[in-house]
Amino acid sequence: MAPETLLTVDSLHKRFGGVQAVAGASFEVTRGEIYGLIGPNGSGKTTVFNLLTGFLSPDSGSIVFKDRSIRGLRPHEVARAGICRTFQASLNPVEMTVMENMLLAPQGQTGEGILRAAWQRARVREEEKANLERARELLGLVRMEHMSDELVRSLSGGQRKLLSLAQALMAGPELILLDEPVAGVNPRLIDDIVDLVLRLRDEGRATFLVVEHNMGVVRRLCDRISVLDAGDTIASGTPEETLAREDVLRAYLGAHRHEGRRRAAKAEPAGEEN
Amino acid sequence: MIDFLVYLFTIIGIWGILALSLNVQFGFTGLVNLGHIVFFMLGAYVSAILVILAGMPFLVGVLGATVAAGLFGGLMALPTAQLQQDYWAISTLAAAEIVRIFFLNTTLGGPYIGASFGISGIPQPLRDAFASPAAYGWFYFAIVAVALAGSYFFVRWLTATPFGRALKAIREGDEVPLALGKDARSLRVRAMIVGGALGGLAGALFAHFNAYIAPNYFLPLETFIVWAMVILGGAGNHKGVLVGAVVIEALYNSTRFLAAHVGFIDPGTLASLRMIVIGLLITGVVMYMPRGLMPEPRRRYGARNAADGR
Repeated sequence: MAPETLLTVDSLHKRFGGVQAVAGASFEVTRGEIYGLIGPNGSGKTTVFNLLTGFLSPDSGSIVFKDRSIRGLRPHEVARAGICRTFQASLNPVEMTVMENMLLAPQGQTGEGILRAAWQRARVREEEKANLERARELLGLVRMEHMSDELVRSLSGGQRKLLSLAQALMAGPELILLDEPVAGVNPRLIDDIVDLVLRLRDEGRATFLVVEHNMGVVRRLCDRISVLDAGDTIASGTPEETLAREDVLRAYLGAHRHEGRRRAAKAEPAGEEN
Repeated sequence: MIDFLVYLFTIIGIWGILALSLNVQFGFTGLVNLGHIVFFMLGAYVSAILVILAGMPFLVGVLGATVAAGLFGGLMALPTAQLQQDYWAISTLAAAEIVRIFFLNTTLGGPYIGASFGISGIPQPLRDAFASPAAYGWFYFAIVAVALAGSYFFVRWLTATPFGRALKAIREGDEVPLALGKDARSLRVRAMIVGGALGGLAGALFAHFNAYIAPNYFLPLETFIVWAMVILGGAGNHKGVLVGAVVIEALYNSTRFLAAHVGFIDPGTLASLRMIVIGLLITGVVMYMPRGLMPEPRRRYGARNAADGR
């Protein structure tokens, strides 16, 4: 089976006033893999997520998903095209229950139109029933089935992370963008989340693009990674070889920062700066 | 006494529909609409114009009022649906005042109709079929009761649909609904149309009940009366906002009674005091029962196999 490129990001740029947040980020995600996006704080990872999902529009560069440019689409259009994201801090509506949050996720629900809800009541009922079953199954996967009628307000931070993961799965997209899926989650649950994502990948349920700071998790989870520094991709490859590179280490230690943002580290051998 | 109660409950029914309509917009969708009275005003004017000037029957007037106010709701939301909540609130207040000032300065079908003269002699449906005003009062109360029941069951059904669920989701921010493919802007526009239409229905019922309308009936203060009902009763709870309508309207109309019993306060002072009482009541509710007398109910789906998935 020839690997199929699902998402191609090429030379993405985004400036906020005087800050060049993203400056040339480029990578390719293949269908069926777990792709990691790592980098020090402020390196533009979340901004890249926002650019990919239409929450921000890039100044330049291209985003191609399934051979179609999705640059310039509005966020809900990106979601409908098949990309679903989670947020670093849970933004789920807290005055709704876990189950209501889950049932929100499926795309193209008949009952989301007023007239269709009125004329096609049997169909709406059937969809709701099927969605409810699936939501229970997915909540079971993240071990939250017993909490389905709790308000999100009463959930812990870690539980909210699990909910957004389950919700993303419920939406059933081809590509799921996870923004720090294990930050603030207790260690035992982290293993569960890693196993779950790996299993979903193995079952071919979705492709994942993951931003994560926990390097142990990145090594276990990701098939390939890209390292962002100051908004540019400075290295790409398997986690082992990429994380061993000296320029990557330097990016994390921040040694070259004082040299400005000329991306010297990318082209020159180690040891030139400082 | 009984006539007064029939009058009171007719008014409560009309304002109850208005409270239900604001509840769809604020209670469920989180839209801080500070110009809600505009739908009531448009409904009242459109129905009066259709019936008096165009000679249409009562039902056509009411239907036209409902449609027109709904369309205006959508129109209001189209340019503003992307605004932040506080700016949105200001824009709704402005929209309502624009419409009121338009009617204040526009004569309709003659020099003494419309503008500040208002519209008088608005026909009451089937008035001639009833001998006494008291009997007619009961009849009109029945009309309002039917409209209220219809509105109540409609909003209860609507907010239980997947559409209603999506409305509730955008109430707390656009990010998650957008990431899940929900068009937040379109949902807001549709919530404004539904709420506007119901508000228009209430306005039409008011116009034909009162038989007279004028621009000064629709001052911003009236919007805050509707808000008081929703906040007091419990935003997000249909029954709650109806309880709010009963309490607020009962207080608002209490002076007619109390004036006879509390002779030591002159009626003018008493009329002002009732607004102070409503204000204190709202302050108390916001401080000690921020979710209102009847908080929003939680929808329970239960454990596996226990629910039918409605």
